[in-house]
Amino acid sequence: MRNTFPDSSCTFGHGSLVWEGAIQPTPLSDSYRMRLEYRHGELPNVRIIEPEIQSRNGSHPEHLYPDGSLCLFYPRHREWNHGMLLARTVVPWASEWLLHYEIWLKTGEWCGGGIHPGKRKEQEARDLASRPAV
Amino acid sequence: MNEKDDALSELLDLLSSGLDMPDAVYDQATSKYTELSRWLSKDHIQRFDTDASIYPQGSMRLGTIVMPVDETSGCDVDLVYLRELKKSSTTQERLKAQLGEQLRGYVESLKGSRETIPSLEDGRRCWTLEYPGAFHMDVLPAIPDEDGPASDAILIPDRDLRDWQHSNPKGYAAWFEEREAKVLASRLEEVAKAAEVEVERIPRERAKTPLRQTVRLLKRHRDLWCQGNHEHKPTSIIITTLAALAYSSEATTASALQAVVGHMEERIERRNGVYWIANPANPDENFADKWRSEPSRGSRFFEWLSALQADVHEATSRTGIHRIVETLSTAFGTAVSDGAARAFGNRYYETRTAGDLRMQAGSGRVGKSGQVRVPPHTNYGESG
Repeated sequence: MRNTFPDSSCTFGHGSLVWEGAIQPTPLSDSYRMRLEYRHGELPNVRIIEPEIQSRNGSHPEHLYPDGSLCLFYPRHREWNHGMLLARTVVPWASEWLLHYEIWLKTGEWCGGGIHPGKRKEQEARDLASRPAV
Repeated sequence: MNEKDDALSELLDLLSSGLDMPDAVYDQATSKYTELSRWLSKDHIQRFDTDASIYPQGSMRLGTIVMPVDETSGCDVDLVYLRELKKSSTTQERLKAQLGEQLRGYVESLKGSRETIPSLEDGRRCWTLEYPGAFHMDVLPAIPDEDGPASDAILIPDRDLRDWQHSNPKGYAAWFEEREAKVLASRLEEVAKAAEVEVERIPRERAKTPLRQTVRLLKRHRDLWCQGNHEHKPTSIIITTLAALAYSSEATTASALQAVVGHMEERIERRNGVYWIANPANPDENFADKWRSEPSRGSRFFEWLSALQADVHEATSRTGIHRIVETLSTAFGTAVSDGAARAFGNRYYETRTAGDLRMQAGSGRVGKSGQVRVPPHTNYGESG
């Protein structure tokens, strides 16, 4: 993490890692301070600390867990596994999430794709079809 | 250029392209215009046994067409119908009336066919063929201006004026193209390369150059700004001329827009205390001539320019895509600005699903370049 983001901070303790750093998804976007917590054996948890994630006309952004952390991957697709480097997976995914979040904030539309519970099957088929062959 | 300029240009290009005539309407307009041109030439030979030609003028020729704010009212397609006649052998009324007869014949010839039948309207200088909901073709009758300042100069009738009016749409377009020659040539090459065809086969007026995109943005800003009060609306010819004069081969739309907005005012001359914006194709003609008898036209232009400068300054100095697009919405319209923002987001999504999205180390910026390749992933979860 420190290699990819030299200005960030990393702390370890009790089997967990906490990383804090600033990312700016595009040169037009705001800069966001994010916090990533990873406890071995669990899924990484990503939150935006500053500026606070806003709602739009009373609605929260798409792909946000009820606790305010970002939903960046679909566990059933096994897109993330414990052998992956966080700096090369979860961090760029969060950056992309923030890019689409700003567009959503203005237009009300989420252009980043994804799965909503309920529309899962239909979207799953579409997403799988559009994924590059491994 | 810096990365912010590139990203802003990408957004502005999407916005400005959204203001252009859509490809389908453009194809329809050019096919109607070609068909009309063929019909008129044939009919002209039968009637008058002399030559006539028809060619586009104005924004259709320059590639600076902008859709009206109310899109249902359709775009202007301006055409010149040039008859090889001497000034001494006709009159303004006769030239106009003869074109009217020909166009009535054209409309008549379409009846019974499957073609769209346009309605014909009589204007001060031209005849208008109205294709409802899509576009209107203004056909302007003209004769060569033999004593004019250039070989392409023409004379046109005006119902309200005693004398023939001077014009030179071809000369003006050549001047405009010269102002962006380098950038246009390289843009045409890029487009041709992407489409895998020869440069000559790309319609020149469809290339989205930084100057043309800028002129489109300026005209749309003017249209919105004047909504509700059309009196003394700054004219397109003044806006286009000053923009082309203030442009100095900037390679991106964001830098062109800022340069033009910052330097337009300096290009307005004062000749003996009179505002002067010379027609580049006819230096004796002052596009700001009416500002002399109606000074409120000039003040309205400067008021508009200040509003434009403030909006462009705000759009280029804010951060946050949502805030930038908010400013663009105020300046150029919500539908087209939101559309540009969505298209901007879709591009990133498509790049990611194609497996080409990357992230820069240090900043976390995503895009097509960067050390970290972004692996596929699927956002999951409810919206609140």
